Amino acid sequence: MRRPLNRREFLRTAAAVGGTAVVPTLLKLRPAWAQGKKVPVGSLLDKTGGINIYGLPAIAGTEYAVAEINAKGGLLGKQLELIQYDTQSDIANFPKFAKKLILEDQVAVIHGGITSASRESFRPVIDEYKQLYFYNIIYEGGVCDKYVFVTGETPTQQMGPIAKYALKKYGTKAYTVAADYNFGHISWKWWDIFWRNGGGLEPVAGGKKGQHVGKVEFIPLDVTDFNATINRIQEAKPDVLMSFLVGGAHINFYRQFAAAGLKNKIPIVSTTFGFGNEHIVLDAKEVEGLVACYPYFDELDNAQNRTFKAAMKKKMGDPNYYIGDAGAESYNGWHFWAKGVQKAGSFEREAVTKALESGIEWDSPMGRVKMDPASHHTIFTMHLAAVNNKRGWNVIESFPNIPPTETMQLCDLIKNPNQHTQFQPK
Amino acid sequence: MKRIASTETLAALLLLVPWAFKPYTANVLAVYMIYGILALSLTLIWGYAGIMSFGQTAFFGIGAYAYGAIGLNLINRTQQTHAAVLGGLVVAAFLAAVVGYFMFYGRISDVYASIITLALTLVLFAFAVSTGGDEWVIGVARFGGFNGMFGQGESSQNIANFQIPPVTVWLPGMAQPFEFKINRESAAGYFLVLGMSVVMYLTARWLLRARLGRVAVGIRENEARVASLGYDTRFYKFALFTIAGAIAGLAGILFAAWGRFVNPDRFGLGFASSTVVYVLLGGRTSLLGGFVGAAIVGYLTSYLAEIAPFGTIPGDATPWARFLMEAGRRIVREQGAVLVGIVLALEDGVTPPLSRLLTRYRRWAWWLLLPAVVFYFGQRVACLQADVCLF
Amino acid sequence: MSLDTAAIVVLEILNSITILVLLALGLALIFGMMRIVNLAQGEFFTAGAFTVLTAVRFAHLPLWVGMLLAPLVVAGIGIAIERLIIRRLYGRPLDVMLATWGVSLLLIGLITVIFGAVTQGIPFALGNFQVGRYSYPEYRIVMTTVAAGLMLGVYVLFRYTAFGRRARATIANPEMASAAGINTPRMFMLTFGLGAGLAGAAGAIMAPIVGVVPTMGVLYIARAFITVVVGGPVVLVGTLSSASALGFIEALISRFSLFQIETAGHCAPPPCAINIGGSAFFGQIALLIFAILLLRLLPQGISGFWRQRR
Repeated sequence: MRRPLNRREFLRTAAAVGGTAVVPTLLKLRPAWAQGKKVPVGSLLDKTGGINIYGLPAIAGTEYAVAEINAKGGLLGKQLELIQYDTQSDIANFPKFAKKLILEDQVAVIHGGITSASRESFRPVIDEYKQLYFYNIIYEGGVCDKYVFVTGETPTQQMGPIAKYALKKYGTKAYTVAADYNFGHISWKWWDIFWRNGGGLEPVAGGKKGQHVGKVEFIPLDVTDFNATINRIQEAKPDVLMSFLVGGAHINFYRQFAAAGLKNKIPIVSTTFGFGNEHIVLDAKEVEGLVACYPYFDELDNAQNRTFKAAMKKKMGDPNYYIGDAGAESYNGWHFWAKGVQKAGSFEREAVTKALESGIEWDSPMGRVKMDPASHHTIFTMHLAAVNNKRGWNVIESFPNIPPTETMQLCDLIKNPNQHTQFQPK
Repeated sequence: MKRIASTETLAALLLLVPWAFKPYTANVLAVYMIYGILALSLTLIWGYAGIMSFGQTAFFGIGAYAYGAIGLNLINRTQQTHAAVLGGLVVAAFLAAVVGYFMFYGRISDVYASIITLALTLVLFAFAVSTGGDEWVIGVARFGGFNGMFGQGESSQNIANFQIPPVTVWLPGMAQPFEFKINRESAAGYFLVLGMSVVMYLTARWLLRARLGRVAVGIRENEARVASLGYDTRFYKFALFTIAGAIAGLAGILFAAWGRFVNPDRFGLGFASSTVVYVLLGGRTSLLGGFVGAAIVGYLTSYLAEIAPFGTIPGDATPWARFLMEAGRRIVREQGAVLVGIVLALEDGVTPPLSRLLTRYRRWAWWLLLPAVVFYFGQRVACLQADVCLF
Repeated sequence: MSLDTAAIVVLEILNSITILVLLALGLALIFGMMRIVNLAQGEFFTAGAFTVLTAVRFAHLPLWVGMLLAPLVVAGIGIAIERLIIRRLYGRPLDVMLATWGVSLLLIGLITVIFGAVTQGIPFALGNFQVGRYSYPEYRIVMTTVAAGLMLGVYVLFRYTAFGRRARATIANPEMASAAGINTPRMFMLTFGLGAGLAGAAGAIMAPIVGVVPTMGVLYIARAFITVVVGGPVVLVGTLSSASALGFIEALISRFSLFQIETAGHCAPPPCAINIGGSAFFGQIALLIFAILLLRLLPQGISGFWRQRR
């Protein structure tokens, strides 16, 4: 039914429509790139939304790495033009912006994706358009894709050291809680193998072997009340608790666990605690003594890390800024790519891939890192550390050259280059 | 000229898009149209029958997952997806029918019905995210929990072996199966979505002219009166709800085929609220409203993701300017602010006033606006296809 | 099942019911009594938690002071929202729903801007007690006590005070109440504020146990509404009976596995089986399904049905 338009309505409508169209243009902040003889490179990370606790440090590491490369003259004489899209913690944005980076911006490489779900949502796009892609976050292992390189650690790189340490120090009975999604399920499978073998994919000679008590619990990502879980843990009476919990809601587990008086009765080990800087959020009396294993801690003391930390603190304008593993891995990812480009003398994907498959290693803020040619994954020095009473970590022991054996076992991209999939344990 | 046939013009212009713009634009417009179809289903059930359903995204998601599950299993054997499309539609419509029966034949009030649809969406979300384990498979289609649905290889070790197929047809007489995709070579997927949008729009228009639609509008205005006239209001509400559910399911199928991916976020509260915003912004009583709303919000979100966060506020801006820019950026981003503002200020979204505007000034529109737009499009096509560029 | 396990199950049921009561009480006033579908109720909850956080972390006040402040602050926010937005939309229930949804998104955005999206913690010093071989946190008993206290307070307020009488009159029949000289707009405003304040108190009480994050309300809003809808129009009886029924089901299904379904995946060791029950997820599903069934049988809610029978 059409009734005549009166002036007030017209003005209101025009304001609404005009506002939504014009205001963004008025707020058109100068885009971060300009035209010129630059090589566009892409980044897909969550600057806003719930995942941004991992996204913000990754973005910081990315921006600093690209700026550092450009400051030293760029790559092959050309400056890099970093094109970033904020995926807003919404998985639907990843395939969309991946296509934009590939079809419109025509970037030489894409770095990004945080949760495994986000990565898998656009890996098919990567495969369809044959785009070079780096994934720089801890994950459950098993990605075997010719176009993909991974600089994040896999659980088995953490589980060997953790299992051996726990068996020696705490005992043989373990109870496991995990986040209820692919990462949690697959981590559990690997942990099941490692723990029963005493710290390896195959039974470890001469060491103690672990056993599981109770039933592994998979907890959805939005659960915040762990009452029943904590009671079941007490019922099972384990020597040690293994946690694969992830995300903001699961932080409450540690708090409720301590509130039930269990912090000093049952020690916790984890492959995920700390990656989201949970040790800063929680109180020392809630988590002191929790043991984790990562390739990077801010507390590591080497020349590259000292320079890296100073520069990052300056960039973020905060002398107490804690970088964390996510920031360091993104930084490393970009430098791995840069070294591949330099070795290949070209930005073309096939040339860079071949260069990266020739075995590149260098001294990073994490220490020595090496790109494994066949699996496209990274070999690190892993460090075992315990939460201290100053919202930081005390490094206990370091293990050089820990390879991602579970992926290397199943994935050889030099012999079988046509793979674009993800594996998990049998 | 009574109407300037704006809808037809719009459709014609949309047809030209793949030749006028780079493939990414067609890709993005396709998903706006898919969201528009979803919003259309909400407009039908809400704007015209007065039942606010939070559950349209539930049927969207069910349609997508069903298409994925069936498609993944059959594509290697039959090289076609017609069974998957049909299956998705049937599952979505069936679920809508079951829920509709419960609600309307149980004489639950409209407000409670809305809450039940909300609960449905939440239940499906909680279910979908818990399907990460190995045991959640249908044939070779692995639910995947948060990671989304993929096809497995023969051994379950290979968990992300292939993705949901695009809509594929292999009619007798064709040498190869034909896939509806959107990339540098083909815009078939885009035309499929455009075609479906037109079909759904026309279907909705036809429905509203038919008895079902007119009774539904009557129910919205005064259910008791319609019932006293002898119509079984329960049946009409039920029927419209089921049809709206099927349309939402179709949107879900197209989405799964477009992105070749579906995951539990489709059942999430965020997506459900976005759909409501599209309809509100575009206009509850206009069938095109959902499309308009989806396009506006989509454009805004993209703009905010691409330029705003990483654009540098000029370093020489004064602290006040800087604060205003930051605040402006955040307000534009907050769909909540948009929602409240629209409900209070504009009674019915932007499309009805816009179309009244166009009708009022139709002479200007016909002689000035339309030629300008046609000229712009023509120029772009010439520039992109034949390298004849004016600017 | 051993005695201490049985005792723990009873405590878990009590905990479930307590949480539902806390979530539903404020909404029972606003929706159950005033018929306002307030989708921003979850954010009142969140605001209460953040008030305590601010008081403890930034103003360095003792915990109990923060907990007393929270309902006051949130009641203020509720009153502001009632005046600015809800007042214009009386008689348009669906528009109220949408406007409050918008307010909810807006509040989440605001809280995120001020506090950031990271989950924060509120430390507290209570200990735990032994139940056989289990230790159970004392704080949860405190929560139950507070929930009972809030319910008692609402009862006394509405039954025995002048304000309570006026409020009940206004809601039962606004025109009549207005004719009798009661300032009805003010009554609506205050009742809404009270409902908001109760939600704020609930958020404050639960904050030390759950994570304080801007999106925390979203997790609870559905259960709050379900509990109130199933409860029916009588505030206290409805809330209590509904919370008891639903909390009982949720706690039980969270703890005990009902049965298994075998599926065709590849599992080691085979066969693949899906466990129905025994986890928090199934507890929530059971709650939702049970609520839908109850509503189908008693469309007026438990207290509505009971009221009709009398």
